[in-house]
Amino acid sequence: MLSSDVLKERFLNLVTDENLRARVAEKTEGVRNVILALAFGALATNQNDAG
Amino acid sequence: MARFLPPESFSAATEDLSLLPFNFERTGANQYLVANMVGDFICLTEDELNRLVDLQVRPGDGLYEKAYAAHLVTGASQKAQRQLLAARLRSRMSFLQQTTPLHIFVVTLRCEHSCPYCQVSRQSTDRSRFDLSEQTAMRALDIALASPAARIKIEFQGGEPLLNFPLIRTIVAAAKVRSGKKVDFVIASNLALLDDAVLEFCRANNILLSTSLDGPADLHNKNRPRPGANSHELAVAGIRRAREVLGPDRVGALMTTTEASLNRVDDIIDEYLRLGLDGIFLRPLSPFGFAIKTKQFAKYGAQKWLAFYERGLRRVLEINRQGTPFREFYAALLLTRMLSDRPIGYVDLRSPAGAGLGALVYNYDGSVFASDEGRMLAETGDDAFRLGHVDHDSYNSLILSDKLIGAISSSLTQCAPECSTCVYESHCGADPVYHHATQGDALGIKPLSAFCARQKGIMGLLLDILENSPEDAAILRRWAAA
Repeated sequence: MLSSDVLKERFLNLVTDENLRARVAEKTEGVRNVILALAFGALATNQNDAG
Repeated sequence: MARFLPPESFSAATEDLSLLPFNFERTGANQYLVANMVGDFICLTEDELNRLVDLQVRPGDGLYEKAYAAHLVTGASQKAQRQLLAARLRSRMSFLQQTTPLHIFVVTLRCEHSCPYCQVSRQSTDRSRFDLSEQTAMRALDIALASPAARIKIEFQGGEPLLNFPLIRTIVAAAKVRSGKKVDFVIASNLALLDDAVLEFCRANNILLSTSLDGPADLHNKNRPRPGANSHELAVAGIRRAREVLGPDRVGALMTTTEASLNRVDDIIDEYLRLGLDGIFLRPLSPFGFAIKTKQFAKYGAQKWLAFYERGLRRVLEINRQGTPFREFYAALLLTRMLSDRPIGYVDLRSPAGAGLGALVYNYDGSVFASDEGRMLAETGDDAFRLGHVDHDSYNSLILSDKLIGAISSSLTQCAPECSTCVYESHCGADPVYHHATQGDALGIKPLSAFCARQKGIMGLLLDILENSPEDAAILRRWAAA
């Protein structure tokens, strides 16, 4: 059984990390889409056709 | 006249920085494991991670160089890193270009073994009811040959497929005549019925054999009972004979972990070594068929299996340190994904899931399933992954069925809760059949998933060895490069 202090620390860590994930997602959503488009979009198709 | 530009021309010192996508997981009080978009890992402290997210990094401060090398940060106007990540991602996912390379023919559900963990719910009688007919097999072959992959593998399964060996002969001959593709063949057999005629046929048609070996005789025979209690004796004799006739690399063996195996991993590995096999695949039980009915699946959880796995992996590494090359195949598969960009389309560990896109299963009654586990579920009354029937469907209607598209799209790790932000996502996979079977939902609640716990546990163990045990890390790197 975990003590209340350990549970509290775990919960705070969880919230801290989720907040950080939300900030990373907000800052990188655009570039993620660019990379996915480069990897799998029309440009990638054209490259495969050319090859 | 051309001349070199000054060093500052190549620096991002005065340029705005841009964060690249990454996932992370807290691994200690002040430590994080961070993975970039293609799954390269680095460790950062909490302070370093916060500085990185706030872009409080500059060339020369050490953290910038670390983050830049790991593709976590780039110059806002630089295109090279984005293009590099895209090229690597495209390479890693290029297995998707080979749609449905595996076709499993269940030529009979009959089996002379009575394994309590049997995941396919084998039958012991009634040839007419539980054998695949030639007519149905030919329709299944039409579908298999219509798949777009230039090279396909046809795997014969059961029950015990050698109980319907004449049909295997017919399918192999027909596939060779009708196919414009390269077709590889595998027979998954317990080898109890292996004889010279079967071996000669395998040799003549370049057919691989895959068998089950659960460890030394007492353990294997306990797990795999048959009349005469001689399953181990027959399997070992079959492996030896097959290696002689077909060649040492033409027969492979798989083990299944039961509760009785948990304290025997050293014995199990030593048995594989004794038989001259070049590695072992340490596999947990799957939640299907008799493994559920006989409560075998419920007898141990993910943590007990992980302890078994770690002990086994460390024993395998010890064998390598003593000079004998010997691999744990699941670790080798994960390491290839973690340390290279080779496209690994292993059907049980990929996203989009391998169901249908990686394999189709033609059951003895003509039903077509999205995976081997899907047909196992159907034997206990759950048709969630039954896509259709060879009499009524084509390759396209099966692959484009709402049922398959629904299962695959709802289980994508790239956008699933917990998975999409998981530090191991690049190397993991979706398993909609497992999660449907255990949680009633193709996506699954990952904190409650033994599948998730096992993948995270193994990858964490591999990273720990790579980081902290140089001699063992060198062995693991060799497996990834093999």
